[in-house]
Amino acid sequence: MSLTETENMTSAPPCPTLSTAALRSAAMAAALVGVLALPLAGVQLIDVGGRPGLELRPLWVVLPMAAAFVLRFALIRARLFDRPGLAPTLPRNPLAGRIPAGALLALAAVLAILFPLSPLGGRYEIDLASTFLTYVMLGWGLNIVVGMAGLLDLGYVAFYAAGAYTFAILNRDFGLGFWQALPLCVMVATFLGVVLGFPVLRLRGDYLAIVTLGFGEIIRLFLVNAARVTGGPNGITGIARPTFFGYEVAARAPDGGGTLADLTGLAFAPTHRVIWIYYIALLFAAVVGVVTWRLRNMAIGRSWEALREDELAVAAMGINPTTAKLQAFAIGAGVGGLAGCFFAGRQGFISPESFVFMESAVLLAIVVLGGLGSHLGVVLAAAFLVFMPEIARSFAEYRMLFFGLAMVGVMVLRPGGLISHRRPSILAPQGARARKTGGAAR
Amino acid sequence: MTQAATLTIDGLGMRFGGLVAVEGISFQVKSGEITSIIGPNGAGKTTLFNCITGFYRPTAGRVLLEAPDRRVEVTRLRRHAVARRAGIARTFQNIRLFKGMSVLENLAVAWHDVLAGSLGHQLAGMFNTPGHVRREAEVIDACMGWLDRFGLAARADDLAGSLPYGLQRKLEIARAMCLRPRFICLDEPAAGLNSDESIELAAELMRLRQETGVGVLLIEHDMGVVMQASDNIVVMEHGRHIASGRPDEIRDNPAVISAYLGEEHSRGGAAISRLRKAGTSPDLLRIEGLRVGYGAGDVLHGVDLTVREGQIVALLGANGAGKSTLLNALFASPLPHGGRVSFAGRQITGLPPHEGAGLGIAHVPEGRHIMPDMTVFENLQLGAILAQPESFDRDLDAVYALFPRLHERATQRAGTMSGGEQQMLAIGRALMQRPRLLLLDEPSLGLAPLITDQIFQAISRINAETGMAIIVVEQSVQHALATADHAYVLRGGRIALSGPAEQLAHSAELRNAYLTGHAA
Repeated sequence: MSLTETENMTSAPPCPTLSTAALRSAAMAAALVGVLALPLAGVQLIDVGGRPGLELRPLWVVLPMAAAFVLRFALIRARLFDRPGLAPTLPRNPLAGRIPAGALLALAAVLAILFPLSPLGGRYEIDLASTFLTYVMLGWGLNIVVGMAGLLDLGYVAFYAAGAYTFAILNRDFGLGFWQALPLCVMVATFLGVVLGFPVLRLRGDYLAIVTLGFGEIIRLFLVNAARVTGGPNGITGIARPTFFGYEVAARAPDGGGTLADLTGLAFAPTHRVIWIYYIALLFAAVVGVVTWRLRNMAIGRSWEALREDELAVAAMGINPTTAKLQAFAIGAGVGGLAGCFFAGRQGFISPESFVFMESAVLLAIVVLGGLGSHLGVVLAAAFLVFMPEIARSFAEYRMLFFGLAMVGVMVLRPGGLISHRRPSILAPQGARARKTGGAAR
Repeated sequence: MTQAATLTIDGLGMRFGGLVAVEGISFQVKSGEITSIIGPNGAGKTTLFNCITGFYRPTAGRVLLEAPDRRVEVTRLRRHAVARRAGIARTFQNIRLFKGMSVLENLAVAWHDVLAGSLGHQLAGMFNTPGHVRREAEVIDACMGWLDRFGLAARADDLAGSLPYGLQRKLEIARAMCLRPRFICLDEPAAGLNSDESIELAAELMRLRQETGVGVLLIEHDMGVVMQASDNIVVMEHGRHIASGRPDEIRDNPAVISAYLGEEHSRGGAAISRLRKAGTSPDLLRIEGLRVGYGAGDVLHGVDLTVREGQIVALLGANGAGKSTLLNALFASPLPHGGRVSFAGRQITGLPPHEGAGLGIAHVPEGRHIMPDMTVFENLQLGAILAQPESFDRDLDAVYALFPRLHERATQRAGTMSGGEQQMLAIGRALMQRPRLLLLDEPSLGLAPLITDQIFQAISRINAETGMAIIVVEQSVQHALATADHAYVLRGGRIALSGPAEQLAHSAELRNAYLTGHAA
């Protein structure tokens, strides 16, 4: 029984004191916001004849206070009156049963493939779609660690960085191309996942979160300071772009090799490279998607989810929890390495600034917002987190505010994430369902 | 199905720091037999299970599994290896299902070795090869067989956490059986089941060992189940093995009766205080029709109970009868969903814990919950937060007079003290609140007999000197009855028996309620 339900039971008969309590609580919230808003937004530094002065902006205090009051009051009232039977329940999966999932998936694939060739596919749009696919990839990778195995990892960006820097260094120092370096990048990141995982996976919950957070920062600081290898704060430039089966997707091949234009006879256009990058992102995302989807439906995935539910019981099932955790951590890290390698190949330039904690936080937001463990949820949440700031770009400085508000809104409306329904990895055979209906008839 | 095997527990001992939980336990169980391990709370039964199943590494002795095909020293295996290498599966006292996964998935996890035991199997799973598809179908088939047997097939695709309590217990047994064990250790499988379900469970266990040849080790407080199903019974008390034998031998064994009901204690002081308050003082706490549940089912089904000023009330009953729940419900966790509670004439139903403390009810919960990293003195200070500052010195002296040991250890970290001293501290901390009513939940849990005597002497003294009313939940029946004025026996969430403590102490019904499980 959840806490809110218990609360509802005591307050079932709505009595007048509840309104007063709600009002009081709302007033408290408003006061608190007022105290915070006054120094933060209520005063502005202005120029008074060459000297700094303060200008009071009462509206900037009153408006947030009013908002806090209304929201708090509404929240309490809503909680008091939604009793279990009356609570509006959102449909579990609105499309379930109406359209076969396979057909939807095929349609999505066809649309994704045709997108760059369609009139919608401008350079900016295709580029944005590639970013989106990168986040989907990373989200699926982190979803294994956080969503399925339940290991709160706040430093996932470290593996992303490891993949990116591995490719950049291999390319700069050894002249390896994108496709040659790719498996090495995945391997290095996976190895790093095991090395990090081994000591820290004894920790749980918040402790694991803190250690992984620290690890993410250590990697970034290492990248900044080990300047001789990593280029320091300046990063590494001139990283080779992914070739098209050995042909450069560029106006001129750097070392006299062939270009895509030579191969196809089409005149080179800058969009070609963007489109090619998009298709690589699509391919990678598809591979990661299929692999993680299979993992989810396999015994390994079940052992991860069981680990999230109860580690002691997992051990009683003859599964070594440490091994299961390491597997999850390593595979998640490998996906991060793949995405990192792609990122370096796409940008042609990387620096530690791309791998700050904010990236880890956004990825975690994708997994949590999507609904822990949900595949489709990651896609929806990545779309939300990538496109939303772009749409809100015209609001300039307020866009992070809208972004945060929207996140809060989603979490209030759907506390379990966008997709909180979990389909079992295996289903009972038809016979059992026949028995089920038979049993109901009896 | 299972080959004949023997599990030998040989001189097993387990210490936690200074606390001896299990000492010198030796017995043998064979596959195809049901062996019950019984004994009062804190006897070390679950600790013994944890040693057998590899969750604890015992500090003495060993466990040996002998089967035609292998001889395994179980106590050397790591906990996850016990299920595979020794074929010992287990359930947990407080159900540990994978609640967010489906019923069928819960069972499938037990087949991990078949589906993902090797890299080859894992790759086959990744590419979904025909071989993997076939293996998976076989596993699902086997799981469905178990679900069918336990009447769970129709709910195969439902979330395990959504099952009612009784079915969750069954699912946990089915999951353990999916490990294809030689021995299965069940920790209180009947806890929380009603008496019909318990009888059904006993029959199911007997069928199980007959058809599969599995050996069953059973920890159970429901004597109905134990007497019905067991081939052998091992009785433990204070970590030691005090008796074993067939059910009928155990039932009449005087050592067992005294372990469960305690030795006959008679204390002059308690008798005098009983005379002093011959049930004439006004009511302090009155509970009427209290109904409480934790979601999966009701734990208390309408309990009435009254405590008068200055009275000591004992609350008795087997594990899972709802005793602790009753105390906790006074503090709104869980919130009662029926009935009324009034304290000193005031309605307090559903009052949050911190407000309860303000009213003058102090709770010493099971397991003590002292602050281990703070000193003894700091712990006592915490208790006095709500009391008047001017009375602090006086109260502190009173607590120190009651428990001189606390005075000696005032500057020691509370967590480093022994179990008995921690219990004294927990009671002392509650006394610092200057309550009118003191709730003691199993004050003797895990304590040696001598310390238990001391604690109960202290309880009598507090009551005699201050007139404080006390409710004491206790497994040591004789201690409780010797100290209390009035007693209630809870069974299956209802009051089965109540009356003056002296009368109950000599009633045959009480013994029945404890030892057969089907009394009253």
